[in-house]
Formats: sequence, C-alpha cells, structure tokens
Amino acid sequence: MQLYRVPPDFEVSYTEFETSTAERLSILQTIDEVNSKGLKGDEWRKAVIEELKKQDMRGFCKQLTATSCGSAEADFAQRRRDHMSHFVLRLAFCDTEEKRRWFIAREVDLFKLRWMYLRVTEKAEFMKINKLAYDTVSHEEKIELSGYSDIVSPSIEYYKVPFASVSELVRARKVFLKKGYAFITNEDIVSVILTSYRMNLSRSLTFASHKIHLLDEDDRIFMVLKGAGRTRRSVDYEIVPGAEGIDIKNIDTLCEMSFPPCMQKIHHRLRTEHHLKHSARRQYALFLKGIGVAMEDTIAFWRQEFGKKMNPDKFDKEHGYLIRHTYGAAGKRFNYRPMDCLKVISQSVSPGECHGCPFRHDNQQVLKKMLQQNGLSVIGVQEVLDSAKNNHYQVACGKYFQLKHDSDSTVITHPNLYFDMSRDILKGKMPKKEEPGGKIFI
Amino acid sequence: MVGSYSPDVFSELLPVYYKRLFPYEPFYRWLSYGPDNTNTFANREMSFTLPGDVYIRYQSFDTIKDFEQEVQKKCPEKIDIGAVYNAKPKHNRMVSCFEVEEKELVFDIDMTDYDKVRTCCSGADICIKCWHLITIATTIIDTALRDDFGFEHRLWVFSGRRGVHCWVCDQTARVLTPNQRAHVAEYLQVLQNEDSNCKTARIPPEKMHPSIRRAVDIIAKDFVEVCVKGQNILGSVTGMKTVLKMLGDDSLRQLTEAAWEALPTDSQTSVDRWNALVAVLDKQQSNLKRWQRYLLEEIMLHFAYPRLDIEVSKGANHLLKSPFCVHPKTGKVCVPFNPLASRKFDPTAVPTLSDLIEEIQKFDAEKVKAGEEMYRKIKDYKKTSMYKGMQIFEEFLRNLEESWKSKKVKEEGMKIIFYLGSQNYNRSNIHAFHNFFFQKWSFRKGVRCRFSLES
Repeated sequence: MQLYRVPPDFEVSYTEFETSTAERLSILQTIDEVNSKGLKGDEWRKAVIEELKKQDMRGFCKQLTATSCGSAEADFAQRRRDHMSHFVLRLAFCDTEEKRRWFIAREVDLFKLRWMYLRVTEKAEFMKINKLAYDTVSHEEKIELSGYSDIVSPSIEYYKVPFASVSELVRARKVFLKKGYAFITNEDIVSVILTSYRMNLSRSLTFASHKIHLLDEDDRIFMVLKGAGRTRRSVDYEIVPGAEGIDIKNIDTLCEMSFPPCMQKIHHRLRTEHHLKHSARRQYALFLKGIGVAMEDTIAFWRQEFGKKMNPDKFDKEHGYLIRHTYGAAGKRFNYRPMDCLKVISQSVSPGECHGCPFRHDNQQVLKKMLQQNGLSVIGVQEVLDSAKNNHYQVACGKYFQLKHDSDSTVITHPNLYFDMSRDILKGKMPKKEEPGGKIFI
Repeated sequence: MVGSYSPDVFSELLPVYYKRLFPYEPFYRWLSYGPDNTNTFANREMSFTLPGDVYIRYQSFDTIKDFEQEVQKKCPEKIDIGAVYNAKPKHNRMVSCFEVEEKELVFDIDMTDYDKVRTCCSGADICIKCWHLITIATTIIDTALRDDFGFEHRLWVFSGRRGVHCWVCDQTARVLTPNQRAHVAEYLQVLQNEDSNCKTARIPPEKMHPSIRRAVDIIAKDFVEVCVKGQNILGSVTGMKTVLKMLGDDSLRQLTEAAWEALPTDSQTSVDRWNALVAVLDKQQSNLKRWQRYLLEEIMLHFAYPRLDIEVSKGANHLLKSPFCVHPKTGKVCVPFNPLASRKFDPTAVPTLSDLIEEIQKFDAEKVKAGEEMYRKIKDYKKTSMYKGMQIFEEFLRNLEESWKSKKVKEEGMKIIFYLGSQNYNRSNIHAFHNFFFQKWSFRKGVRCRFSLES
C-alpha cells in the first residue's frame, strides 16, 4: 500500500503491462458499480470484496488481507503490478476533466478500502514511512478544550491539523474547530491522508495531460491507454448492423412495454404536444436510432407529429437536419452513440423541458403518478421513490425495471440496454443477468 | 437625514459618484494585497453591468488608473469582483490554461430567504424589524469565521438593498479549493430542507456540536425581542399552528394548546404564548423522546439561524458585487459595517446617492466658498455620511497591511543578523550561520555567493 509518489522504475513485459492495467481498471470499475448501490462503511467493503471475488481478482484480495509489508515473491510481484498499473491508468485517465475526476474518486475509494484492512500498528507505520507527522495535542490542552465541548474527551489521542486538510469532516461537523485548527482522532486521520493524496493525484494528472502527446509515438502503449480510459464496462452502446429493425407502426405499444421512463416521457410529450424542445429531440432521436428505427421512419414519424403544429416544409428545414445529423447522414457525418444514463442524468433541465432522467429531474409527485400509471404496486412505487430520493437514480430505474418485468434485480446504465433487456424478457428469452466480470475494452 | 431618492436620477448622479466619491485608492490597496503580490490586481477579474443589463465579463486592469478611467468612462451600474487568475482575464482567450489562482471566501445573506419566518415584510422590502434577523446572522457567521476557522480579515458589506456580503481575505481563505469552500459553507449551513413538521433545523440527539451550541446561545439572547416580539411569530393563528406542528408530537401539542387556552385574556400576546410553551417543554423534559431532546433549540434555530446562499461561497470563480457600488433601485451605497456593532447598523439610514451629492455640495458651499483653504484638500467622501463606512474600510485595510508588515519585518530581521554576522565573524559564528542559512536561505543566490566568498 502506498501513496504513489514515485513512478515505477523497472522493466516489464508487454503482457504484464497490459494485464495488470486491465486488472486495475476492472477493480476501479467494480468499485464504481458497487458505489451506485449506495452502501456505507463495512457493508460497502464486503460488497466490493464479494464482487471482486466473483470476478476472480483473488490475487488482489489476497494482497488486501495479507500484511502490508510481506516479502514473499508473489506478494512482491503483486505490489509491483499495483504500482505500475496505477501509473498507467493515470495516463489513460488524464485527458479530460470528467475522466480525471472519475479516476481520482475511484483511486481514493480503493485507498479507503485498503486502509480498512490495515491494523492500528500498520497504520502508524504507514504514516511514519510516508512522513505524515502531525502535531498531537497535549493533555493540558485537551482538558482545556473539553471545557468548550463534550466533543473532545481527554482520554483519546488527538491530532491538530489545519482545517482545510480535513474539510470533509468539518462539513459533517464531526470535528472540533478552534482558530483554524481541527482536532481529529486517530480514526479520522485517514481523511487527512486522502485529502493530500487527492490533491497530489489531481496535480499529477493535470501535469500528465499536458505531456501525454509525448507518448503518441509508441502505438502499442497508446492503444492500451486509449482502451483503458473508460469509466464503465459495456456502457457504450454499439449499434449492431443488420439487427432487426423496429416497425414504426408499433412504436406506441413498444413505448408502453419496453421504453425506459425517460424515453416514455418524451414520447408522450411528442404525442400530446406535437413538439419537442432541442435537448429532448436529441436525446430521443439518438435513442430511436439505437433501438433500430430507420432514419426515414423517424423523420416521417416526427414530421407527422410536428406537422400538426407547423408547416411540414418548415419541419424539414428546421428539424429534418437534426435527425439526419443524429443518424450521421448530414453535417459532420459522425456516428453519434445513444446517450448513456450518466449523460442523461447529468443534463440540466429547465422548466417546460421534458428530457433528462425522470428519477432525477421530476419531483416526487410527478414521478409517483408516472409509476402508478405504469401499474406498480403501492409498495413498489414507494421503493422506487425512496431510491430516487436518495439520489440513486439508476438503482431506482433498475427497481422499476425489475418490478415491471418481474426479473432479477439490476442497475440500469443505458436507456437502450433497458430496451434490449426488456425485449429479451418479453420475447421469452432468459432474463439477461449481468455479464460475469473481467470484460474489458482493450 | 435620508432624503428622497428616485431611481430616475441614478444615471445622472452616478458619474458624479464615480468621479468624486468612489474610493479608488483604498480599493486598490485592498485588492493588490501588499507589495509582494505584484500581479494580484492585474490578474483579477472585474465585470461591469451597463445600463440595459449588458454584462461584460473578464475585464481586468493593470493599474488603478486604468480602472478609474474605465469606470468613469463606462459608468457601470454594478461592478462585480471575480477571482484572481494565473493570467490577465482580459487575455483569457489567449492563454491555454486559464485557471483561478485565488479568491476571497465570500458569503451572501439575503433577506428574501427569510420570507417564511418574517411577518413584517416580504420579498425585496426590509424594515428595521427584520433587519435584526440579519444582525443575528452576521454575529453568528462572524464569530464562527473568527473562532472556528481563525480568519482575521473579514470585511462585512451592506449589499445595497436587503442583504449583506462577507469577504474573508486571509491568505489561507483565498487559496481554498472550491471543494473546501463548499465544505466550509456547508459547515455553516445548519438548516436543511423542511421535514414533515415544516421544521428546518435538526440537531442529532447524541451531541450538539459546539458551533451550534454557540449559535443557539447567540440567538437565545435576542430571540424573544427579535422573533417572538418583533416578528410576532405566535401572534397569529397561522403562526401558532406552525409552531404546534413543529412540536411533532400530539400529546405535546395538546399540552401546549391547553396552556395557551389557559392564558388570561389580557395577556394573549406572542411573548406570553412563547413563555407558556417554554414552561410546557420545561415541565415535560423528562417525558420527551430522544429526538425531541433539543426541540426548543431547534425551534429557535428554525426562526433565526442564518440563511446562507451557499452557491455563492462554493465557486472560486463566482462573482460578487463589489463594495462601494450603488444599488440602482434604492440608490444606496454598499458600505462596509462593523459586524461587532451590527446591531447599531441601520440599513434604512444608509446614505443614498442623492444624499451624498447634496452633502458635498452643501459642504463646499459653506466651507470652501468661505475661502477656508484647508478644506479644499479634504477628500470628498470625508464631507459626507459615507465617512463612517470608509473608516471601517480603512481599519480593515490597516489590519490587513499589518499582517504583511509583520511578515516583512521577519525577513528584514534575518538580513540584519546576517550583515552583523559577516562584519565580525569568527569561526564558530560562521558555523552557526552556515547551518542557519543553508536551511533557510540557500536558494537565494546572493546570500550563497557572499557566504562562500567570506568563508
């Protein structure tokens, strides 16, 4: 376990380079997936380990549970892989702000996970090795402070640190503050370490993003990096050419049966208002393209709806282009991919607009009504509402899916996946369970 | 003293204000943060709002003269102060990575956020009664910033209409990351969304954080005067219903209602009802459930704890209206005030643009025309009621400058020691200096060269 201050300096085979990178990526992705379940503390730790074991990361798990400074050969190799893969992923995730943030957050999670497995003596040793010495509070001072507040008790060991390095604890009002210093216990010291780790990582990633072009020359490494820089498994929805098309005539039935709530909402709006605002047009058109509606059908269908309010010629001029552009038939001719849940959720939605994720952007009343209309039981409605209320939108969507299709529990990561899974179940194929792990895009 | 002001004269008087009254020199001294920070002023983002809501962002000025000229030329209705960047904001498109380097930690408290707990005014209106709520807010936030976070340089400014701003200018505050700013703001933001009983304050029953205890103590001192009497919170049926609902417990509600019924007809005021409620809670202390442990404190916090607009504090690049702007609608100047004496600050008595101009004219007519030469040199703001706000600003600046000086004195002291040492050196002396300077000064070229020559 380390704070990755020094870059690795050893020779490594290409296979090892590639596999260790893939392994670490998989670990980080697993943590990310478990995070969306919204667990805390020990439950979170157990869930992560369980998932990792499922994905055959035994080497990693062993390293976690073993003493941190073991010296056996295998242990050493594992640490070497750990060290190297961290730095490789730094490069893979440095190019955009979004990726950097994801990577830092997951690495911090990973650190937390490991920290949980350390014994007290090991923690102390870790701090000593990494020169993380902080002022301890003398007994007299403690007694003086305990006069102010019952938060400080003279019998516990405290460290005195600048408040900015434990701002997370400050926010939760978990520490006592005096004149810019926070008094933290031994357990909370991890928060300090993490803050400096996070800042350090952030700085190095920004630096790396300026220098990354130097690597362009080595194709092998570049390809690994390009493949590794993905935050999610299977999140990009590939459009399979030659897949069965969808008949536009059935769109209303399909909408009721298999559309995710976000698309249902837009579809209903289109049918009732005969108009869609820009972001909704984009979100919906990409989705239709993803489920296999032909471009001509989409244009015809929209023209029919929009045409009730505007001149069809005007429609072709103003909106036909957007659809052709979305399908990659005009303008930049780029094959845009349907939006995934993250994209849908992270959009901003102003009043009067209908795009976005209902679980995030609709208020509870509207959401409740929608769920009831879709035939969920009272308990089911409440369950979904609770998840949405706790900001677990994708979990909420998964619950909704589960209740509607009577399937296994799942988390929805992509509106089009929702559709496909729904079709599979309705057509009588087996419920599609989550892919067994280890599938990495390299 | 407060004359009538009409927004119509705003565009007419503003140029005069920018010409004669806006305190450019102290303003520059503040934003340049001492002689060591050579680029701080030049890399600071300013934005102007011109008439007709024309917004110009990313302005910056190399010198105070440039700033003064531009302000007088454009006559902006509002000047906003943004962050200090790593390059001149006016060149922001030419720089490949344009990033925030520092920014004061700011807080914004606005009276409109108090609409649910004030009965005297609503929306943009304020009176001295509801201003007391801001006074409490100022005291709580100021104390927390000073005692908890150790911030020394806090500038409190009246925002011109219905709120106050606080600029925390300590070095440690200026370099906080957006994340850390958010955490500080959330630490200070105690109130949450309304729960099922319409209460916004929830104190966990295990232990009350000392900062909340302190806030409760501050509120308790004035609560009866400001909220119970001033806002008459128990004077109306709706008010009583709201408080009853907050009790969250039917038996408690019935007891309180009974106590209110039992009050004699001639003492049915808000204060009487409040006292009755306190008595009921006191009596029931042993019967209260765990989550009701701090019920009384929670009710007081609900009615009087500061409502912060924390989005303003969170972003390091967020803009905030500059002190000494003039509010177009009220004509009032955004003057600094002393948080310790915020009780005495009366927003309705803040000078308006027309007052100030009148005061100058009056002064000039009386003294200057009378030929008293010594009055000619007096700065214009000293002739007006802006003087008091300026004094507070000057004092803030003095403290700020004091902190740079003490830093400088330390460095000067080192140089003197070195000089003395080199004059009458001997072997042991040299040894001591060697150790001393190689720890602290070895990177300063001059020192190293000189040292090697002499040894």
